[in-house]
Amino acid sequence: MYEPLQNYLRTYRKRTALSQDDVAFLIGGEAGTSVSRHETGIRVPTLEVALAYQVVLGEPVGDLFAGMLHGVEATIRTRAEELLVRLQDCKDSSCVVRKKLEIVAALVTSDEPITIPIWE
Amino acid sequence: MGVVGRTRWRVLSIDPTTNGFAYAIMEGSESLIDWGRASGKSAEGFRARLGRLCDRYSPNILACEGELGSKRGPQARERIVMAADVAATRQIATCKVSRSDVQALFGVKTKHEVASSLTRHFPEELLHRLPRMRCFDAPEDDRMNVFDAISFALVVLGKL
Repeated sequence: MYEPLQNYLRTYRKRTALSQDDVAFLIGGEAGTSVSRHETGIRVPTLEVALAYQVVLGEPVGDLFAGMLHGVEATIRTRAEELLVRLQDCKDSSCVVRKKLEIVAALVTSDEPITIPIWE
Repeated sequence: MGVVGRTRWRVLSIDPTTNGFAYAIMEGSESLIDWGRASGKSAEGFRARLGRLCDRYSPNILACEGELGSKRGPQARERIVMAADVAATRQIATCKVSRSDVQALFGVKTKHEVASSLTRHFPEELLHRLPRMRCFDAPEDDRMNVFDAISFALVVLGKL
């Protein structure tokens, strides 16, 4: 079964022809070793550093950390299934609950990367 | 998603050199994930370096040049056998590719033509790494092994 790699930092960095030291300098790291640790998955970058990678490499964080995103999606789907059961068992049938059911059911069934509409 | 797919084969291909091996990792025929040269002159070094690549990328298939009809020297042949052994211990299938398979896939004859064709396929990754055309009396550029490894991976992916 195919699983995406934890991250694709190395792939995108090599496409830009930047060295690990170059990227470390751009993102404000101490040395290329910190980039190497992120690339090999030994360390997980902070949100700020992940966003810095997005800016430097020109790819969305979700693509740069595809494996991590895959894992998060799987966890959320499992939790969404649980929440769906809870909501279905709930006797309340107000508009708010129906809206919740719609959103959570979409999370369970969707094959696409999960995005929750916020401004509706 | 960009280079990342969800239903693709991941292929690690290698081409042994005198100082180690050139490698390429591909996810489907459109995504070149990693490529380069790895040192590993001794047998132990070769095994260790290849093992680390296998562990890091968890490929489905290892691609390398087949011995049949190959003009490779005894060390390269030995390393290919060794690579298949490293792959087998990790339950990775090995697929051997011949030069004629590569020539048939690209429809060209020389290595430089194959490499040029690859730079058109992966311009961002490879265009600035293409070696100059080799003079008849000059040794082969070390970078050419990386292009060879990528071509092996593409042959395997073309067969899947």
